[in-house]
Amino acid sequence: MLRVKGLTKNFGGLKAVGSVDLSIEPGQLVGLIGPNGAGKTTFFNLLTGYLRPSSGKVTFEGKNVTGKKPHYIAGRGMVRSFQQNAIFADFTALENLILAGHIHSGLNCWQAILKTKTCRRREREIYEKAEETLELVGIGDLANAQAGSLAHGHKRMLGIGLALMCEPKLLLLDEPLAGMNIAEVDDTLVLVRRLWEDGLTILLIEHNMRAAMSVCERFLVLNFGRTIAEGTPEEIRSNPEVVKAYLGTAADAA
Amino acid sequence: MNKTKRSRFGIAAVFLVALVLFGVFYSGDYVLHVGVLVMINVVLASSLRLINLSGQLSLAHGGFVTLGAYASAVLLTKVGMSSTWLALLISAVLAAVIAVVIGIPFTRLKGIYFTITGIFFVQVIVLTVQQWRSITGGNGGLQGVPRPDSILGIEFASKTSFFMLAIVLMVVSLVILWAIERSRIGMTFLGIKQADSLAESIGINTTVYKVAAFAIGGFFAGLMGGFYVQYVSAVDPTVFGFLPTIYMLIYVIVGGEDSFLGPMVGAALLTILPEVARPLQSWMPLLFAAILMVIIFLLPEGLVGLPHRLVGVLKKRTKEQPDATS
Repeated sequence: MLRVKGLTKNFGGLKAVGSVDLSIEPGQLVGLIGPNGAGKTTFFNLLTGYLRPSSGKVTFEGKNVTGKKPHYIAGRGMVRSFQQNAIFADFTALENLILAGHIHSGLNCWQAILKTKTCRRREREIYEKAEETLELVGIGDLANAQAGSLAHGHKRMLGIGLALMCEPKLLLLDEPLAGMNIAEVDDTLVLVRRLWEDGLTILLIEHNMRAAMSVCERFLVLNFGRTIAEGTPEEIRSNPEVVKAYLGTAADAA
Repeated sequence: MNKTKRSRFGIAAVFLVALVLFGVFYSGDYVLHVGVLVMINVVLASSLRLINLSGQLSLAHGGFVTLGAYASAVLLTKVGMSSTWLALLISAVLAAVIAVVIGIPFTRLKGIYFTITGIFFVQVIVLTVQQWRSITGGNGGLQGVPRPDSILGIEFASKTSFFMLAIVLMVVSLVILWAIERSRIGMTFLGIKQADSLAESIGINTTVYKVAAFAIGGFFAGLMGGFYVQYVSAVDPTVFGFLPTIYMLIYVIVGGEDSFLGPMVGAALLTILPEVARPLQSWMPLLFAAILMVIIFLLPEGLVGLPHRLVGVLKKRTKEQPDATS
């Protein structure tokens, strides 16, 4: 589904991401982990068109999407969430999702302006789907609350809802658990698991190792922009490179 | 919600009928002339607001009006086009096309940088019409632009006839702008304004929408430019130069940028003000600036927020009074 080959990004002399390879098959739930500054988010930005790679190639469902615009990549079904609270703050929660739904409504601008019959029918469908999605991410009761006034955890869930409204084939989640309390972490993990079981392919960036270990079936570990390990949770846990990256060497510890 | 929608529609209809009746029964040339100017400025301010909706503060508007005005003037006096209506349409379309051409590079810039390019655009247009004497008549401008051809047996000679034409153009423009705003396109503009990289992530081609907003605004600016020149039958380079462009923005902010009605209220009041306060003519820019400052500090939602504020104050008063007496 997703093939990444030799993806590299240099910021001046700094190699933020250095020739990373990754391939994801449909139905997988892959974790991307690594210490702070390992290049995880940069890697996401390269995949989704927010940054132009210095070299390397990204292929999604057989199509070369390297260096394409974010909206094009999202339209092809590779949809991301953001680490910061990326929501439309002045809209209500429901309006946020409706906006995301409209893009894939297949309506042209004349139908939208003149509010034709097809348009109204599609808008009703989008409205219903937005309500369902709000329920799915657990904030169904906050549909008419202004998004900017939601609690942190709810904003994060709304962010995931936005991505889900785009009918993703591959969902890229950028640290969905950041800043959440324990209960919210559990809810989010249940949601991720459920989305995956429903057939969605997911690439998950996570800082919280334990949480990531509990859901992902395969991992890619980055440090200083390079792949230092790849494999199942067991393999990762026992990999000395990974342990060193996370805990530092004996000398550092002393 | 449906009820408020209907009552709003009702108020608009009543207002429109009153405007038409006023035009029919009132025959003071001067007042009708001011009325036409008000309606032109209402459309200019409302179309500028549409661009602002997409998160782009444009100061290019006067450039599009000038472009539209000169397009009509040149076509009708130099090229010898026979249909004034076709010239009017070309004024609008040309402004929209130029908006697309400059919009593609300009909308890549964000915030204040985009705004600055607008000022630059207005100056380029003004300088062009000043220097290109063989076509535009230089600083003297162009005179003797013919009035609109008669249509459906209506001759455009009296102030009343122009007043009616202005009503038609204004209503058509406002209905289109309103339809765009309440559709998903308007919603997308607002989304882009709030978070444009997030909008990209959910599949919105933000460049296309930003350029579209710019072009739609440009279209109506060009249309009004064409209408203006056919109305006063002359144009010079600075009628819609930099200062008038700033005024258009002031109409929007003073009236209230967040509501559709805001720019209309702002444009109407601030077009009438200089006429009422004739002796202060040379102080007008200062007065406008002062009004703008007062509004920004005391009434950031604009004049349309005033009734709501007053109701709030009155409610508070009536609530407090029993306490005070007891």
